[in-house]
Amino acid sequence: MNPGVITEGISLSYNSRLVLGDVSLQLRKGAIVTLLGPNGCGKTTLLKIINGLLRPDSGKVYVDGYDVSRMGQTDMARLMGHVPQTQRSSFPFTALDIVLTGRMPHISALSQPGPRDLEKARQAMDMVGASHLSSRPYTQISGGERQLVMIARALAQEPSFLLLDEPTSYLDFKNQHQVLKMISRIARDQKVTVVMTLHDPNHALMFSDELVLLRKLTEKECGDEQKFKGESNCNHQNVVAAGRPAEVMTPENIFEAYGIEVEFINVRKSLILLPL
Amino acid sequence: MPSQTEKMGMARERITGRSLLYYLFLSLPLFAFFSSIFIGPFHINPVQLVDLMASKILGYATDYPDVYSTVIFQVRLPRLLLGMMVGASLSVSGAAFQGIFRNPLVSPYILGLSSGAAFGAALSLAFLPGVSIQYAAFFFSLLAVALTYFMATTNRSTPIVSLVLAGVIVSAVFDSLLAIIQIAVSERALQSIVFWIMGSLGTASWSKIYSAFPLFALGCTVMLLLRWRLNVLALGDEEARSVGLNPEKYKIIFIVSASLAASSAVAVAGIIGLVGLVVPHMLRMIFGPDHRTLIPLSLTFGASFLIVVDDFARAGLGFEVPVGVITTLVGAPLFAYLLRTTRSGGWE
Amino acid sequence: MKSSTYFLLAVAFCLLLAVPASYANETVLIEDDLGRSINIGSPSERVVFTMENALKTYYAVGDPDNVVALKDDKWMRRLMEDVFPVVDPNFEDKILINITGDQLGLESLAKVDPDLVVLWASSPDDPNILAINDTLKVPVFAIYVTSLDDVYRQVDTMGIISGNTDRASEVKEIMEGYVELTTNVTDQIQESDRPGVFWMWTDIYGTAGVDSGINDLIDMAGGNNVMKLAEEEAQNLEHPVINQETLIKLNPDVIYMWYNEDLDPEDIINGEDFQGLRDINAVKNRRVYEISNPYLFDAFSPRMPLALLHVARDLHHDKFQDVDMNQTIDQYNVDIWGVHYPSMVKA
Repeated sequence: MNPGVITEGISLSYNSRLVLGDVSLQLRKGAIVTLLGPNGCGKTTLLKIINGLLRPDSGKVYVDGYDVSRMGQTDMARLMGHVPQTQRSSFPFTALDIVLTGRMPHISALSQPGPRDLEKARQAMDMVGASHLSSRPYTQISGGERQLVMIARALAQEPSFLLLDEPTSYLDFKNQHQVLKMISRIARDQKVTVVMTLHDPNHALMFSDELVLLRKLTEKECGDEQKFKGESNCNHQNVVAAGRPAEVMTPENIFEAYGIEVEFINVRKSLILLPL
Repeated sequence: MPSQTEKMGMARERITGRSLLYYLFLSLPLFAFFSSIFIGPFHINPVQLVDLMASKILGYATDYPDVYSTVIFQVRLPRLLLGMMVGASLSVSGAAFQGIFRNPLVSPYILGLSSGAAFGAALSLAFLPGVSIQYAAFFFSLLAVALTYFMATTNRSTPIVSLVLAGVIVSAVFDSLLAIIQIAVSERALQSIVFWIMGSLGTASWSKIYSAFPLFALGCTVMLLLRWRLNVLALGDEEARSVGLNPEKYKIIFIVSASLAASSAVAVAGIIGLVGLVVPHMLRMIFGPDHRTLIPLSLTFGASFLIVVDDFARAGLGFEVPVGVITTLVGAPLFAYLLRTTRSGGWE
Repeated sequence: MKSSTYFLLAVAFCLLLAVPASYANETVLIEDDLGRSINIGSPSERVVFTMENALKTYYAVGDPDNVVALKDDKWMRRLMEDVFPVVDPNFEDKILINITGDQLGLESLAKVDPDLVVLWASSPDDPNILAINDTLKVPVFAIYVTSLDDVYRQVDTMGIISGNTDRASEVKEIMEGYVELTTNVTDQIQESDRPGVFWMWTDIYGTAGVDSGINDLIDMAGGNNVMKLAEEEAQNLEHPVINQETLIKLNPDVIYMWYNEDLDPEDIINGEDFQGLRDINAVKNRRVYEISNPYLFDAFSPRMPLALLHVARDLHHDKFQDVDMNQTIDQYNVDIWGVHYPSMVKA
């Protein structure tokens, strides 16, 4: 197994509430990995920790063999691209200008983007099918179009790892599917490892090579009161299961993660999840 | 058939980048300079003026009265050069601050710079006659910015909101100290303080240019070289970090260089208002927010704007009007016009 | 006793009561420099002065014992070195009124129980006037002197306040006599011999407008205020501020500086900051003068005739060669205040 992303014992508390507890994962390089779970399970947080945007309270992250906590920001930006969930801009930059900012890790100290950087930015926009948006002000395009632009921006970094936070959140039914197909295609064509968070289990089933199912750590289990009482049977593990989708997605695991009963249906060789 | 929004986008593409209008605006200082040199209460025949200037450059002799040479090279020329320097530094600092703060209502004075300068000048005018007003104003303006920055920084990060609020506090403190000085001094000193604060290029001299130029040049050069990074900062601290730009580091770099440029301007000319707020804003409405073009444009347009306004200040009436008063009166309607003709004032 | 005796005693008693009434002060309705009508005693016997020039005028005409308090600041204290402690031996003890910037301390005023407060104000809405009216209910006389006529008028008003109107007329005559020492000479001077004069207040490019008292002073001293040649908007201001280029254009023959602590005529003539002025007639011919002593040569005080003479001597040195300045100064101070200057010996 070629380790792309390794996390060892990642824990993070926020406002003295434990969000991630002892997360240890091995994600295969070149795979499309989905982090799945209910709201508050810590999947966005985990993504940011992998990207180096957040520091865990304890534990280590290795991406492509490198210790993330030891990496310089420029090196990290060349390795990993991050697409955030919400995008806002105070300024009406053109979409191309936004994508161009993704070239930052490749531009030396006192320089500006050059023709090569412009070319790479255009290519990135082509890859996501957003070239027609190049001259449009970023603030005037739809939420879904902005998402494409941000993906292109991350691709302009020429990363080996692409981290996306809820890439389907602003898209309608049809476009959700289109974007996920595009991400899969890019992953294969550009040989990029994709780690994304999704909220729809069926999408996860359809598009992932690997799946990490997380559950939310509830107050009752691991709040301050328990710690104060010194209770050590607090279950602080919030990775329910990790591995191939078919193995991870079982009704028992889903119940543990989401707290609802489901059944799986097989349609034309695909697994569909149906809440009961 | 392109939609309304598409048309706007295409229009903006026409203007952004290296269009004719862009180069025109870049060369404005030359036009402004060569018209302003002819303006002044002391009448010199334009042909003679050109001849005199040419003689200095090309090195031939002329027999005009000495006073012509004095007026051109000791009075008008330093005032125009100083005006261009001050206009350029206030505008480019304003542009940089607006970029860092991601907010169009920001002026170079937001971090307490003007309040500190006014206090320093008043202190020197009222109680420390041996200390030059310029140095006192410069020192206290930078002190105010430093206090603001350190007040707003916790745990190695300096949130924008904290900077703004700290700036409000620091400005208030220096304003109060200024008020104390104003109460305690004689009417004559008070008059001088008030006049200085209003902002004037009337005391322009070659020595002021020499003393202000180095830091102005340093601040502007840094901002010019790093201007594209303001684009990267514009999307947010986290987004910047994810492409490898350290937002805290660049905030400091831009705050320091913008403050150096603005402080050296304020130290020699007093507090000239609205230029740092309005010029970048106007340019953004016409040319778009890309800092690769906005920063150079701010330098050139700011320089031109101020010396054209100063033409009125020094020669419009029989007496000297503080140029800061005119920048407000001229800048405001200009800004209002552009605001009305651009959708959402360029900010959407 | 008989009823007629009681009647006579009653009448005598009433007459006795009338006696003190006849010694009572008159109250007088008088207009201050801002046109405000106030009711004051003539003489007022407990007067507070927070304005130095009015005080100087008062000391020339009135009884110093009627002055009960003075403001406490460095300008008033400077008068200690002048003739006034000789005129009023209790001068120093009277420095009692607190002042912060322009604001008078009301408590210190209340403590001295004045019947009149004399202060400087440029409008009836002056905060000091309003405050004193509201709290102390004491009449306030506002001083606002901008012209040479105002200086004479002040002598009259101080005459009324002190009850010594005869002495006031006498002082005015003395002043007019000394003014004539100058104008007898300068009235003869031809227009072409009158130098253009730029009056330089301490803010350097601030000068005297054509309607100002200084403008008249320059005229009487045999000169012409260059602001008469300036643009109209600038002319009519009391204290117009011009710029370097305009000064070069006006090209005065003489630059006359009001007393300036930071600059001397030499700085204007040779200073690095004033290189731009080097082609002006005044600088080329080194005709830059300064009022050396602002207390002795104050144009808006009773010493106005001395100020006039000082300026006239510099403008037309040849015509005033035989004037002994020291003697004139001494004699003037004796005539007005009865004290020699600078020996400060009572005459």
